[in-house]
Amino acid sequence: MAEGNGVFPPDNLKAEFDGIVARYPKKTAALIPILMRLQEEFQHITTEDMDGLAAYLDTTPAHVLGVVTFYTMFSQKKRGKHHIYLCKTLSCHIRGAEELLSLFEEKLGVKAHSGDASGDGEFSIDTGECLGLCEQAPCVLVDDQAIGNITPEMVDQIIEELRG
Amino acid sequence: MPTLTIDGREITVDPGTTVIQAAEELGIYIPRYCWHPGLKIAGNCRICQVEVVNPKLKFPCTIACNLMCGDGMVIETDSDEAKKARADVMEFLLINHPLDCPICDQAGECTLQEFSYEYGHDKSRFTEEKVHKSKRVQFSDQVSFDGERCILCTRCVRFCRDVVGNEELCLVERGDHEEIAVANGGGLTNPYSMNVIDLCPVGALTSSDFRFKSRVWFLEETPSACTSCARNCAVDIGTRWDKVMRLKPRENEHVNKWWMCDEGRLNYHYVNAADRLGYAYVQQGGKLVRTSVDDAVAMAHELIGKLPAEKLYGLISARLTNEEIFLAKRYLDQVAGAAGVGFLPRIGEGDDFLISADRNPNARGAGLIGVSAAKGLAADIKAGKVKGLVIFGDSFDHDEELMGALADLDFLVVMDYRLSETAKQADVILPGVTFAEKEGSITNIDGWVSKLNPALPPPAEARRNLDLLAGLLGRAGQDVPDTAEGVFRLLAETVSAFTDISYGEIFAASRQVATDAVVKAD
Amino acid sequence: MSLKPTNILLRGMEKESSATIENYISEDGYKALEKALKEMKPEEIVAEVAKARIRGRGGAGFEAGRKWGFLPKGVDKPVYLACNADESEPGTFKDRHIMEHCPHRLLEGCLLACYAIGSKTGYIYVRGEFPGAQQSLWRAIDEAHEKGYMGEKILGTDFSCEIYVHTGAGAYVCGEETGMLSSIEGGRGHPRLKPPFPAVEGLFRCPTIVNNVETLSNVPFVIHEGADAFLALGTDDTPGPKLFCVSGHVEKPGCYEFEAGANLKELLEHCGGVWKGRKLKGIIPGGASAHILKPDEIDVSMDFGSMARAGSILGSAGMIVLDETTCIVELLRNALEFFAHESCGQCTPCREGTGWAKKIVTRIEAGEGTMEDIDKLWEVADNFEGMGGKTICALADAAAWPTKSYVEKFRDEFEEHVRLGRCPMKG
Repeated sequence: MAEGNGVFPPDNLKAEFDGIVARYPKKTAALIPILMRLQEEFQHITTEDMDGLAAYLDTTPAHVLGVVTFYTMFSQKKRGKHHIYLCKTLSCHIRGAEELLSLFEEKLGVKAHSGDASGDGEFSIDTGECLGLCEQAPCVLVDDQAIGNITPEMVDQIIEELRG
Repeated sequence: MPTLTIDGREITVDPGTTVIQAAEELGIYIPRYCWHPGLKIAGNCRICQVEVVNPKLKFPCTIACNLMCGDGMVIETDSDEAKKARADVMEFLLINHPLDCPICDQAGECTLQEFSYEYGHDKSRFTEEKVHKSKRVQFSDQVSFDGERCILCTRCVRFCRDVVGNEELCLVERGDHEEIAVANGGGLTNPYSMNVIDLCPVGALTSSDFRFKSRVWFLEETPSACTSCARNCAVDIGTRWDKVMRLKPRENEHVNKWWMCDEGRLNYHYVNAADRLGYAYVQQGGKLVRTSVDDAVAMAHELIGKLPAEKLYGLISARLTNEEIFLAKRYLDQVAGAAGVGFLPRIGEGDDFLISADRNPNARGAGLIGVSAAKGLAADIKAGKVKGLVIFGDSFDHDEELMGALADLDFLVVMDYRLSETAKQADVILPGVTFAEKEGSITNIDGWVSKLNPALPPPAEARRNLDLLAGLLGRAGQDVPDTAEGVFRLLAETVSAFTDISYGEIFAASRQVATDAVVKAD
Repeated sequence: MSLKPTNILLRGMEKESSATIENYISEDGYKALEKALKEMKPEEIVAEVAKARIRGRGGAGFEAGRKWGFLPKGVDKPVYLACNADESEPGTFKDRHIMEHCPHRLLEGCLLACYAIGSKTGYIYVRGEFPGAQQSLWRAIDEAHEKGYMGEKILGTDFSCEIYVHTGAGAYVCGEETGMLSSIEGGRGHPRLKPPFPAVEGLFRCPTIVNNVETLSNVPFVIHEGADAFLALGTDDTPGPKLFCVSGHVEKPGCYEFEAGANLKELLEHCGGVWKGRKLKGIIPGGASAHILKPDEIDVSMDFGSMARAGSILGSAGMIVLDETTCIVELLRNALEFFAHESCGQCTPCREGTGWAKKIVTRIEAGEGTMEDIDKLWEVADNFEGMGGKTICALADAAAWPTKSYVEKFRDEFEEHVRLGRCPMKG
């Protein structure tokens, strides 16, 4: 487990996960929603969790690994507490996404797609393919929050607000 | 029943037949990587392009493996359109494929090489840097993986998931970074894992056991059957330099489909081992002394004749062929008049796929011929009921009770292929052969009869078991054939279960046949 | 045809409370469901939806009513509804607007569809990058339960139905209907071979109807107002209201609702035209997959048929406006990075071809290409295009269309990169 106590699901998430499983006629269907919660809760998907989840959903660790590596929102390396997806596709690209990326990387001190989090563990950043916020290009998705119409001047402020 | 036309030839097929299968029925081979008759259709490699002749179609080509035959359909497998579509796919398959054929173990049986020669372009237009992927990954002790050679056909993944029922392999990442993988800290552990090596159309999955032993085109392949359990999976024995280099499963619809277990596949090293018996031996002054085979046969017959028949027991291995068992039993029954014959049972763990719990390959045949499992032999020896023991084709080195009882015997005669601890106690040792050096038939757990074929000559002075047995019978004036076919005829005349089977039929098809009589035999 | 605004799909979205059930009910929300459950048989719903000819708003334009009619009869298996809310086509954000602002309209559409097709369970597959839409839908589902529009014995009838949100986790290909089904089942989002089609064998190997968010959001109107009211809107080719997503180099980007068939040129003007007073270079009219249209090609009606005749697609109606400073080669590089990244990896031509095309265009953009590379780029794209013949799904086609059309229509710009050995747009 992310907490390393060897029990899956962790006590605090068991009821929630059982509830997700109950939505489907087959247990494996709960895989992606549960992985999303694990990613959110622990900022990464560990091998231990994959093994535990496989047993919990009657599938195999290899199946879970296949899924974890297919979807870009899952990471086997620990991301920052705040993970920033910066949209780089067409509409955002033509409205300055590349410039924003270098700014974010510089201010946060981490590189996109390095799999690393900033030294304090607060931030990580990846470029994402179209976030569906094109009318607000350029934009980012941080945690549950979409932030659009970003100008270079706003980058500092966005980071400060996230730091709280 | 739809009737369609493929390359100008009409064929009527069962509903649900795909075009790739219908073409095969016509003898038209459509190239394929992902498609395999034993696996679910994946339709991902896209090489099996055929043209559906229909002027309305802007893109007339599609894959034959997932195209259901329809009535009135007209298919061209070799039109310009089909050839171009196939060449396009071939070009895509090759752009990121390494050019390491000279050091690739698959060379010679690589369908990427073959189809590329037939359908590809003559030169590469790809000038970019190739995608780099995992190299030299051990999925298990036996299976190694090269991600750059892999063409992602997913046969291996589907085999583990759908045939074995253990999804141990998966795809990771996506796009041109997609690879085959095992779970973190996991591996290929299923008992059939090495089939993925045969399934792999390229050199991505290779056998650690076979790797770098021989280029495949130097191998001589002999169709035969696996003798590691009562399933008798059809195999090809690959040999070179008078050694067995590998066993590979051979398709047989009744017995093993396309597969075999890893244990059976790897159970050939004893054929090449140093403890093989190349000569006959007799016990002289507490030492084994080499002698001629003919002398040893004569001495064995003489020893057996001296003992009162009611004190004689014969162990006839259920690892022997039907023909060998038949002659051995005839000798013990009719010549020696032995009080009892039986075989050593071997029970292991079985599963509901191919591996039989009965580890004797021919217990069923032995039973049909009238040899059943030996019972209480050690006790009988200890009690003095058995004073002479003849062992045809077996040993019990790890059976402490039987090994301990041997001292109480007046004599022991052993025919085997190796100098076992059991054989070392014998008064006469007759040098026989393994499955790889003989011809004959065996009967599997379901009654299917398979044929073994000699892939190697017997070592040194060793002789085929049938020669040794015919020699013993000859000593008693019984003239029996010494060919497997001749003995089989005799067997078929004597044992009703085999009456309806012709040896030629087993031989010609190199595959099992079973008659109702055999299946109904018990 | 001038622009004709409609106020159906995003009705009330300007209000703070638009997403609440109270607001939805105040705008005649759930009246269609009540009418359907109390006055209509399921087959009458199917017939009405078929009559309205709602063409699939996900981009393929297949009529929803016909799709519903493909369900096999007399099969003793559960039937599922899977609503496609994986909206990932670059330039598209209309479904997000519906889900965030008018979630109940979608839920009512889902419930009507479930009633019509005999399903007791629907899943709305919302892409993982839309947490706001997911939260909005879950809230709406709770509200609908409270008011008796969802759950057991809805409105006191024998109809029981549950709708769940199923989250995606970052994969464009899950917007392909069978890739989405693989994903709901907990697998890699690999599109599946067809046949079998989802209506015969879909989710959990059961008959499944897959419809897009906007498509289903039209159903309450069709049932409440009748198919004729729906047919009175839009064009004969594509009846009904339509959401248009406008982004890129435009003064007022946003999600606009007009009758289907809105004129593209007028739409651009409605949005304030090209930004910063610049000239138009081209418009990508239907999401990143669409063939680019040059300024002299945009006087076209935005319906499925007209767009096809104009040599492009209506697709998801995600219009990306490009001003004169846009480097077409760079744009194609960006688009191909997207498609290569999103190729699921199953089919050889798409897996290998999209990556190859990306590498070629990257070199051309960097000034390291040759004239032969331009032809090669086009040919590679032509070789992985094939409408289902070359690949299982249409992702390869979606990558081929922009590639071929950019090269064909802006060849001089590609050649200029080769000649200069650099990008002519960047000093």
